[in-house]
Amino acid sequence: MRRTSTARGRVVRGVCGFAAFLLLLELLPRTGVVNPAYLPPFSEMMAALGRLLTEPEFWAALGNTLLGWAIGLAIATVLGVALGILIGRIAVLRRYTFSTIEFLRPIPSVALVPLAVLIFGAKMQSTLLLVVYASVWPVLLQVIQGVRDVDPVARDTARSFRFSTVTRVRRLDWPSALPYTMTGLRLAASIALILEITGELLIGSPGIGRLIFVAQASAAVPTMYALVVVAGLLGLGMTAVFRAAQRRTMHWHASERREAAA
Amino acid sequence: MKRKTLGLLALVTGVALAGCAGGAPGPTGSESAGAATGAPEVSTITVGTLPFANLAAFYHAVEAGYFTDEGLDVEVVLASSGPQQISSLVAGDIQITSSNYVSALQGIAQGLPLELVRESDLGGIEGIYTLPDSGIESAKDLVGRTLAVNAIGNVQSLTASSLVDADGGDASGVQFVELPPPNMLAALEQGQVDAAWMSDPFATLGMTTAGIVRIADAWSGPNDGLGPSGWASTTQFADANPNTVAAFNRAMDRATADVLEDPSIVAEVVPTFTQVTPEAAASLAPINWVLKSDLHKQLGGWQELMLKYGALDAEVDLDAVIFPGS
Repeated sequence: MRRTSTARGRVVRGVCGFAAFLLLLELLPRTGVVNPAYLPPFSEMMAALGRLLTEPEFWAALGNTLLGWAIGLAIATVLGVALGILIGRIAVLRRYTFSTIEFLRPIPSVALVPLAVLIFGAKMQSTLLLVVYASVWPVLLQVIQGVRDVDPVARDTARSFRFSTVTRVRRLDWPSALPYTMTGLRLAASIALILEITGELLIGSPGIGRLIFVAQASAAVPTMYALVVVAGLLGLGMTAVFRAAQRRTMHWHASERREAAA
Repeated sequence: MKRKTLGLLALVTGVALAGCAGGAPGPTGSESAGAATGAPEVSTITVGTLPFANLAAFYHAVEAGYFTDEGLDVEVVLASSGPQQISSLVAGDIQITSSNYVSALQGIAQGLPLELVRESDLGGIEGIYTLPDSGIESAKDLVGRTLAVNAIGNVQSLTASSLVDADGGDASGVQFVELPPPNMLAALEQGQVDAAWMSDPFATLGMTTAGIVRIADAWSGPNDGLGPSGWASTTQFADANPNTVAAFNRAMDRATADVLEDPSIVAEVVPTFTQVTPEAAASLAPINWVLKSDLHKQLGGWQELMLKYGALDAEVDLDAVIFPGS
């Protein structure tokens, strides 16, 4: 009972804060504190959004963005989990790869734009390369950590019972790595969205990002902000979905149980 | 470094071409392969565009079915910058693209196999704009002041330099600042730059909302006859498919005649491929589309300008990079 009321309270406070933010967004341009030509009032952005919702190009772009994001995230997850379990389990591999990983990881994905365009042209694949490159790291590092975090007693027990490698990966490594993987996945999901839209904006592959560029080149400022709002909503929706998924798959885990007991 | 990039590009191109070979549309009308008036060798081409109003003639040709009339199925790929379209062109993803002449000539000088196939337009409202109280009244007043251009060493800074020199100033004294065109009006209003090389829709918007004035027409005086952009293909494609390129040009001729005769077509077409509202599209300045392409004159003019201001190191053999008859 107490839990639901706190949860409701949190939602109410969140909504109030956001409403105040929107009010500010409406008032700043209206009062002339910022030039409405460059930051139109929130109501104008919403009017532009309403227009966008009736255009098939907008829905096609939204579909392209979500598709690129999903494919990129799927590739990054499969790659990250497979490599992570391998590297996490084999100490030698870990020692040999960590310097390379630490070198590659901080390279900003955006710096790869010229390379991607050279290889794939101004197409979806170029953006996909950026998305995969940026979002594979959080998954990989989390899975490596998770696999290394296997309870040593359990590991020794499994070894003395001569469990097969497959069984050990399934019964020990994977359950131990799962909470880490979920965290990695959630981080990767938002990074993938950022890179998907950045790629579209810079490379011109189809999607919301390219529409933002076209709106900007067309001096359609309210439309541009409407699209930015859409990008923000996408991120918000994504976080909510992943948090719910984490809660559902990890209901047995201490971190989730603690939250429920509070 | 440049050579290495080119090597990689060549490799990538080779791979891309090999990869495409299976799926590329084969010759369709080999029996009627005569002069450049014959049926197109390929039935489908992909054309690269940008979200700019001077592409209205092309989009009109698509919508009016002029390419279909020539036996050409045209797919359109809109990208966010000219250099990316040239990469896609060289990689074989697109066969013809809109490109500015300076980037095309620079690409050719670096060894890219580009071939110009048609002029597009001689521009319109483009020029150097300032706020009315800037104290800049003609091009020579830009000496010692800041001028925003989209890229140094490209169309905007070259035409500005030649205007300043022709007006009795010294172009080397102009301080060029690189800015994306959508940010120029704000930069002018906030005093970050003294002047800006602007094009539509920003020039029209700036004149109506901020009262900016044009102190020099980009295509006047020494730049008379130059234009911002044309159509480019690759030598391989143009050599292997002369009828296809000729068919593209004929469709463009028809569409160009239409938009010159009835500017209301432009106002209708522009909102379909940009986010310019129909009202704003109706107020855009007229564009001087080219009915009879003369790329020798066009490219010759640009080459002279580029050599003079160091945007090109050596002369390019123009005959080799212009589609016959264009």
